Amino acid sequence: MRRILRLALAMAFVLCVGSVFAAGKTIVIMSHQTKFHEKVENQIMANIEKKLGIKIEYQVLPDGNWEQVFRTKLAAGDAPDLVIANAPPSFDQFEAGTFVDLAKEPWVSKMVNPKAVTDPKGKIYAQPRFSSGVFILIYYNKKIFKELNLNPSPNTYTDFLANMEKVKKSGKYTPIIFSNKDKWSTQIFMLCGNGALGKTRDPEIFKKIVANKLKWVDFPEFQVVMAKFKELFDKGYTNKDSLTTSFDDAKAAFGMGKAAMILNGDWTIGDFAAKYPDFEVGAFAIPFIDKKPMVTTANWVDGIHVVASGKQVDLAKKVLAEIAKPENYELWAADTGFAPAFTDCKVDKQPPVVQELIKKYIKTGNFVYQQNDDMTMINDDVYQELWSYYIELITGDKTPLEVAQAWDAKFAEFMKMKGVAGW
Amino acid sequence: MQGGNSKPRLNIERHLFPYYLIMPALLLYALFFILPIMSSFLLSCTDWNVYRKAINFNGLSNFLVIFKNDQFQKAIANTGKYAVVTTVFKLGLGLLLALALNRQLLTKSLIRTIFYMPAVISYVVLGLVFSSILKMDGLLNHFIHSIGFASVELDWLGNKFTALYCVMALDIWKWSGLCMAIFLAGLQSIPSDYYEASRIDGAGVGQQFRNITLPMLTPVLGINFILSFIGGITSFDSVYILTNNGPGFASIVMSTLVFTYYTKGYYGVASAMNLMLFIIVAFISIFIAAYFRRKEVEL
Repeated sequence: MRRILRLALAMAFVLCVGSVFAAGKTIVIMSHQTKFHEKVENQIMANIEKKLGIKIEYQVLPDGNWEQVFRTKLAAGDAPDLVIANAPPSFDQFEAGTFVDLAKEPWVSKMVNPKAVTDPKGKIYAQPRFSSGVFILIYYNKKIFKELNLNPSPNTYTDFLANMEKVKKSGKYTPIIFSNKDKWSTQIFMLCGNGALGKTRDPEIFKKIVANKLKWVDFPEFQVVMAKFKELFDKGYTNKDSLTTSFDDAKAAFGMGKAAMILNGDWTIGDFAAKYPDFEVGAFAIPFIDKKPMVTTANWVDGIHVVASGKQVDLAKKVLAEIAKPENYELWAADTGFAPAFTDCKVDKQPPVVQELIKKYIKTGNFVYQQNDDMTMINDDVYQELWSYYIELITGDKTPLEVAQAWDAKFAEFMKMKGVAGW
Repeated sequence: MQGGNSKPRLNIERHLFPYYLIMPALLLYALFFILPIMSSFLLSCTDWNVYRKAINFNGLSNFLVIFKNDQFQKAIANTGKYAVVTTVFKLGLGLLLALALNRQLLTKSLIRTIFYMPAVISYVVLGLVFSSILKMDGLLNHFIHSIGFASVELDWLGNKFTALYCVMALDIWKWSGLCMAIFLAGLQSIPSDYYEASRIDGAGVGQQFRNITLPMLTPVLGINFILSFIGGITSFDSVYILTNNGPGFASIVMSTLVFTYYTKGYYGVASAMNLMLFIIVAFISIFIAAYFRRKEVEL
């Protein structure tokens, strides 16, 4: 009996010690909901786990508070090994030294768009997951547009509203679906409008606001765009439950043909070909300026960053090197339809609609960068306040002027807190 | 001779002995409760935030920021409303259930368990259930439609007038069972002689309730009141899970406001808000406890 007990104790001890050592070979990757493509991520990580003899653990957090969780883990010395975030905004949002410089990594020389992840000093703090992207437009259901004889390329804002009115009158579909439960999506209309109207008038407008040379209330286009946004809700062009509809729900409703249009980035329809094979999608830019519709794009890509205070920096770099290899990266490109990040990727499954809009808007110069690109020091936790004010705009609790005033106060509070020069 | 000095020494040791026993618990309490509160008081007077390494003393300016903040004013109003409404309903429903189940029923144990069960279910699960019931095409709207009131169908959690009340409904449903259990314990401690004597004197059910049950329930009523009211003031989970302060800031309460400031990295301001919440809760607890203690003495 004693011998059996001793054996059992010894085995338990070995298991504990073994698990401690095994835990040391676990790479933790932190991501958040909209950046996590479960099926293909699991496939790629399974390949890498087998190749390197390690375990990879994904921590997927809600979009709304992943950043604070990451900051807390950094402060507590419990940082993940890798984190997926928008690069290069992440280089400003987090303190210098948070991420490892990857400029000497083997995959750097084969990047399609190295500028996307290179900071002004030539440091590369992330591996890109795609080379370019983020095309924010109205994506529409071609079948519904054909059925109701709608204009697939409205040239004026009045034409755009006329499309919505026709859909509303048909009573069969929601003209445009919003997912305001996920507040990051609420800002998108304003990002498009502020860029199209504000930045074309004054390309330096957002830099002036950041430098405290201009207030948000003194940016008239901001209130004009908000009024247009509110109009969509007041006229009944949107889903009645937009305030409790999540992005995933909105995507599903759009994919199932319940809504004629959705306003978001191209990631919305990236996996449509697989999920909704019969769906025909088109895209057009909202014509905020009559006869000059322009697509809003962003100067960031999803980037995988190596956390400097992580416990396994070298192993994390090896994982990145594996991710960039064609046998893994091509799985990603095939599943997501994003523009490939590496030159040796033979798969380019960008949806035809994305390829068309690149031809129509990007190559002809009819695009504008979103406002957030000029404000990279502001993180999502602070933007949450602005997005909540947009919700209050929809519910009627604030007018566009009151939103601008409230946001001026919060913006100033943050800039002073951060110690930005000029505040 | 030594015997003459040992008796006073023994008395001192006997006097100190209980303190030796509670010392470990006291130390833990001081370390994990008293010390954080004291540091919170100090940190609430600093500009501590996640963006700067240096922490500087800034007096009471965090408190000024808080008082000028419109979200703080909204949170205070919502918190007060939340605490009052949920307390009234939790106590009311809990008492009704306790009175109904303090009888000889074959299935009383089963029914008591069923009513108590929500108290042990996690907020995450309840949040999912309530979200699906309250959404536009959820169970509630289907029911309303089926009884012919289609015009009343709402996006309950997305409507600024109903969102907070939906959260209150979740809290009331979850904790009424606990109130019921506490009231039941109180009811079962009332000697039946009082009721028999009152029946002999011709007292009706209402008179018995007013003159025997309620006064004898004062101690447990006090406990339930404090638990419910403090629970209402410090509620976080139900608001965070169901509405996350939304739509906009319509359902924001003090705890979620503190959390918002914490997630933004404004630790000094968040500490100041938390300190204010602590002071409010402490004052109310002391006041309510004193009130009910006085009531017990009077009876």
